[in-house]
Amino acid sequence: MSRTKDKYSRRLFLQAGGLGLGLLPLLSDELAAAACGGAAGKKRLITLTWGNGLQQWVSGTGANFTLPDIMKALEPHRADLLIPDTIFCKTFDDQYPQDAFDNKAHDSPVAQLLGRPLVFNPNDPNARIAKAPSASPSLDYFIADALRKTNPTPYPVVNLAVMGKSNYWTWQAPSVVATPDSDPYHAFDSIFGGAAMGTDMPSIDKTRLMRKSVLDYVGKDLARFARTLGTADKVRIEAHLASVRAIEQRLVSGPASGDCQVPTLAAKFDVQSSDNFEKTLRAQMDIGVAALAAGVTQVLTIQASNGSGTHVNLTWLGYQTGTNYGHDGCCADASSHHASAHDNGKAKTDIDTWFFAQVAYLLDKLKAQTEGNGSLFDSSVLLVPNNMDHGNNHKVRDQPWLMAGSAGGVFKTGRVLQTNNASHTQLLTGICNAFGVSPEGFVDPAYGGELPGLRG
Amino acid sequence: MKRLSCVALVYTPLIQGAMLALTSCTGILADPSGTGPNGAAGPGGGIDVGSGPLAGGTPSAGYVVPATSLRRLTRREYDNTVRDLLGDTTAPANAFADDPVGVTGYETPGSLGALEVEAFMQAAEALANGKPSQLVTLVGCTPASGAEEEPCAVQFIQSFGEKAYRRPLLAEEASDLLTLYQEVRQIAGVSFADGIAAVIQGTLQSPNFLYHREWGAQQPVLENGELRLTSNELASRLSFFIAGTMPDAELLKAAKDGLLTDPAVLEAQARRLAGAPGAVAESISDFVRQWLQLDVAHLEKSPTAYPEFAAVQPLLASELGRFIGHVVKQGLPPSALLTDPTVFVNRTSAAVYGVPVPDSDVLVPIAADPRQRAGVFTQLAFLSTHSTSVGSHPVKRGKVIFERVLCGVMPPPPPNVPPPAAPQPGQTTRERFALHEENACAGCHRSLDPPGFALENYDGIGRYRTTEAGKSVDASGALTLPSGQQVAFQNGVELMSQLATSVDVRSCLTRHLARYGAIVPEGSDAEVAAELVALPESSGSLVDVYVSIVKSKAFRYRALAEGETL
Repeated sequence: MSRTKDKYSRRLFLQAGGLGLGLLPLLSDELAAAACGGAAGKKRLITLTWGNGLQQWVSGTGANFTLPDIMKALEPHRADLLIPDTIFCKTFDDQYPQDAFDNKAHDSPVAQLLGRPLVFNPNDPNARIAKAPSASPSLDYFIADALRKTNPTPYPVVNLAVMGKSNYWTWQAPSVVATPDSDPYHAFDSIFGGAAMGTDMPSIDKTRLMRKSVLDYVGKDLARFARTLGTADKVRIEAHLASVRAIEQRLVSGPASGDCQVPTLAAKFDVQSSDNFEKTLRAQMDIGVAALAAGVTQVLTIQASNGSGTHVNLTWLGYQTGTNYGHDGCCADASSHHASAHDNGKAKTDIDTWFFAQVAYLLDKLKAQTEGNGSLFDSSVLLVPNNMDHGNNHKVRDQPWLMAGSAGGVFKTGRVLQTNNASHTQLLTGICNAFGVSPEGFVDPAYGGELPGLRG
Repeated sequence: MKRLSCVALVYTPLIQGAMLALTSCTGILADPSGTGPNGAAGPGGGIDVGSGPLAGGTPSAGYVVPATSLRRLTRREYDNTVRDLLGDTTAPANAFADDPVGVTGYETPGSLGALEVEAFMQAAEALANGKPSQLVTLVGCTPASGAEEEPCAVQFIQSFGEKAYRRPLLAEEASDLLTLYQEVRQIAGVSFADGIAAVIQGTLQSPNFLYHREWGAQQPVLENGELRLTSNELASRLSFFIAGTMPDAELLKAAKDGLLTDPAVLEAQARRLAGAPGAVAESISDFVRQWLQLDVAHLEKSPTAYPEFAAVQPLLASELGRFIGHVVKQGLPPSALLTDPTVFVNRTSAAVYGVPVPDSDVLVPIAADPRQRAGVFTQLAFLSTHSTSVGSHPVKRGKVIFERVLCGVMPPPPPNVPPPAAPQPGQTTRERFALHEENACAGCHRSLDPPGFALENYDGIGRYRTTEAGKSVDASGALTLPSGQQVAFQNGVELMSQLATSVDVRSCLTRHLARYGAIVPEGSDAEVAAELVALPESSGSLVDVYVSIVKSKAFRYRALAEGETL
């Protein structure tokens, strides 16, 4: 697919949402709210996930800190950074205590954005971390669910990935993994598309109305189906139903209208190839930022692969397939991101450095998106968690998390915050609070309230 | 139960001075008798394996069946089902997310989030709208006038719905589908065909199509606290297990008549379905692919080390499928998987196998030198998957054999062990791993490495070799099997010929089949296997063993889930 238009017209946006022009008079209020810039000032949560720990970390405290070499790309943004030093995923440690080796943290992304421990039976010898269900949605879906009550958007969360693979970081509901969209072409069509529906307005109306009737039946059938199910299965079917309802919601509200900037995607490339990892991540960031700007969503999650990246070879950085820099008895592929982390040598330095250049790219994009008298970034907070200390020690203590942006003036940035391994749930609590969302039911208060000092 | 103790060497490079720490790890080879750790009755304990046939899988079979969570159609099942339901061969499930590996250790579709729901909607729309020319055949009636359209739709809803939901519709379901049809017909520009398409879309997005729970008017029965599956459920479970798709008309009829709760009828239907060798071979191939973790589509090999691999890679999946089909059609026992020298090659892949090059682009069977090739473990799919991108890897290969063929249990390796020494000129792969024999990791690697060393006559893509780095390949070794049997071998073919007759492998294979087919978690598989290895067919053909799964209690019963109501 090749999409070269820089701007989408109002008409095409309406088509994308399945809204025929004939329905316009009924929807003028909603459309005004959803127009580009209509979301100005609304808080945005952006999460960019990355695993395998970091080789180097910041030094100093308060405003007097030094970024390590791998993070030098962030130097122009240092006034906007809030760096908690350091974070402890204690909920995970309580279930998988650090033994002589580690916390098996490659599997821990499933827990990083959760406020409670996984539902895990320690007496079950067959329990696998990746299969231990969550007791809640992850932070992004939890906040989105609260926000939709006052500001329903076509997408509660725009959840994107690069070479996504389980174990994912996100949960849509208790026990329900939220699979991210790893294909920017598909994501683009879903969010800004309409190409599949053509420009024949009567045909679009017919499709939209048929779709609505069909989804209505499916919803009714799901509710009937759920009646006799066990508790856990019922939750899954309810999440299925919620997804059906979300599509129905998109049919009536439609994406944004007006002269929104939409990204330009290059000619189609293989999004599952490591060779294109950077191209795919940039495309996903472009789409995500455009979706935020257009008011399609207030919550953007981008998962740069999963917690281990065993299937991601560092070929786009010039490391040829077959390069062996890891303990290949342990690592699925000697050339992978995972193996580079175990090796902890130059390849790890290179991949860490590359990653922070992408964080800088994302910050640049957010700041370049004007909104009101400022930029999209002003109302945003970017959360960059990590699932372990170092890739070769698997510890969930001393995790290098990063935040950027004040979420509309809530957080005080430009500093390193000494936390002494505060529970990650305290940070999640602070973010909930910044969005005016009560963390009750999401975090376990036993792990502490809002991380002190986030607001300065 | 044997415990293999070893002491792992932990290297912590972060600390100057290379601190070495010692810690222990324990590898456990499960005894096929099912006795638990330390001799206690663990999983399977209390079952007398050698006491002859069990009672054909009743609640008295001696174990408690586990609760199983609601399962969705796998991608393969979805594609096969829409093929048989709608005649569609476009494999629409390619657009769905991969099915992750679940508690059974086999692919189990995960939860259904927003992205998946949208993908199912798009697939259903494409399937329903894509075949207007076949509408008459599909619907089964041709309305001659507007007045005849709705009666035709009613008839279609009943017949199509019964196939799609794999059981007769409830009255309220049929009524809701008719309402859908009627609503859609009110929309401007909507034809009879569109109305039928809407019914198809609704049906294909219904949980009754997407999930395995064919209750309908038949209700499962509680027997001794365990849930006996309904005839309709058994028909689906049977058909998806043996043929990978929805039940055919005969099976649906038997299910509708409630006949399948009779084990004899169930077995007869299983044998009937297994009589179609193509379908059962495809199903067993799917099992073997997952059993041996053969991810051939995503292999990456160094183009420098193996320039010929790119041309061979697209053949690997079909090569395996053809081999399994050969074992099935010949009625060979499971041991043939470890001994049969037949390979399927074309003009491209023959050279890699070192067999005469056929004048064919299509894969053809060729009897390879039986001193070089013996079953799937000496074929390209296994050997190239469990290697690195530049060479063979004895530990990867050995680990699969240890864990998946012998059902050995090994804890994950510690993260901080030093990397193996870099390859040196003039050094064989085995020499490179020689440190495993000498340092503290030997305790574990003494179990993992030998079956891998046995395959050192095959390079990183499976080419046969007798020398490496100018030296003779040493593929000899010895291994103690879970039953205590000592196995010594000079090469992979010798190892395989001994494993082929071992009770350990037979038991382990049955355990994995139980996980795959009876959907039991890993912790319950030994019990099912113990029940099944006592059956006469356990020494029959591969298909016999496969079909025997349906006789297990776990196939026909399950526990009531927490909160579930009848």
